Amino acid sequence: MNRNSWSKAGLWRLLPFLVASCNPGPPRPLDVVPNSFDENGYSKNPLWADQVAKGPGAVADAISCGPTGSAQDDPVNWTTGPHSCTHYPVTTNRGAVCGPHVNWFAVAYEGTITWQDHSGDDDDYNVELHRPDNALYTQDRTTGLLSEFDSDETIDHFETGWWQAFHAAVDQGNAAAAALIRDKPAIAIGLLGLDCAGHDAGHNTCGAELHPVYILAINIEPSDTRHDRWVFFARNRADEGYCSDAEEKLLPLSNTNDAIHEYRVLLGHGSARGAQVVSREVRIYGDGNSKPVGAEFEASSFQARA
Amino acid sequence: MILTFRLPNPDTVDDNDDWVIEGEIVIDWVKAP
Repeated sequence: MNRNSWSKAGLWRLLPFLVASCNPGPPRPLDVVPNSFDENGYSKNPLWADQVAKGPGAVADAISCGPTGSAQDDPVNWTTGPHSCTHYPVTTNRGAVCGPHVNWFAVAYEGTITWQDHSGDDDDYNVELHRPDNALYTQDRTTGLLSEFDSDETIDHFETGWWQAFHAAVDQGNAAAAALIRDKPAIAIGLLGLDCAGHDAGHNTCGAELHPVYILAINIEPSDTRHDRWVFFARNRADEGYCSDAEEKLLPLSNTNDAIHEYRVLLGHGSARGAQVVSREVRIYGDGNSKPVGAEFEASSFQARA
Repeated sequence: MILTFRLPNPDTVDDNDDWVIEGEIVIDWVKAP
């Protein structure tokens, strides 16, 4: 057998294995099904495969398919064996006394926002994101997608006007906080995962969430005519609260070795052909002695596609 | 309107050196003629 024929024979022998490795089989309930992609290339408003299987508006069952108890802590148990929920190689993150968080990857989510509460356990601010298609909802929470950010890492240090007012409203109570953001349009980029922190021994009570939220933009004065007023924050490293020990980083899909990472959020407005900035109040701060060269915020008008 | 946030690579800055951008922006939309 000459080299060429051996190569061809070898290729044909390998083909079933190559096909098998590229085709992982039928979707599993918690595979993430892309819908569209945002300006950074992150999956935007994806669905769980279980939602796709059940039809429009369905919420996913994140309880029946997964491992239970301490088996939840080993990521392998989510992708192999009798409790395989997904083909994606998830990671887990737990705290000393509770957990785990089971994490997929960063996704973008565009919908509306409502206030939930300020957690007394870990100081997280908890909000819900909503979409008509119920994207990423799970049966533990059929009203929205829970999204969390640690106030110790964010709003406790914020000094711009609206965020300080929101901080004061939260301290005043849930009703005051809720009134400031109720049903406002919002865009978030966060780590998609399941919070299994509340499980009892032998039971799976996992539910989907964006945690941590890395980037959040809220249109607090949406207008049908001319003005919009957006508030926002952005960071690329954060914790997952009380039931996690490790930090979770937001990485871009390219140029990950660059000193500065760039993230973009597109604010649209119907048929608008462009936009101009009327006013802005922006603060960039950190724990370091000086701001790294290149760390900046920029707002630029888009030109609508013809 | 595209908001662009440029932050230090979290893998290359010190673990305790967290950077955040916060703020607000008011926008006038330019309608199609």
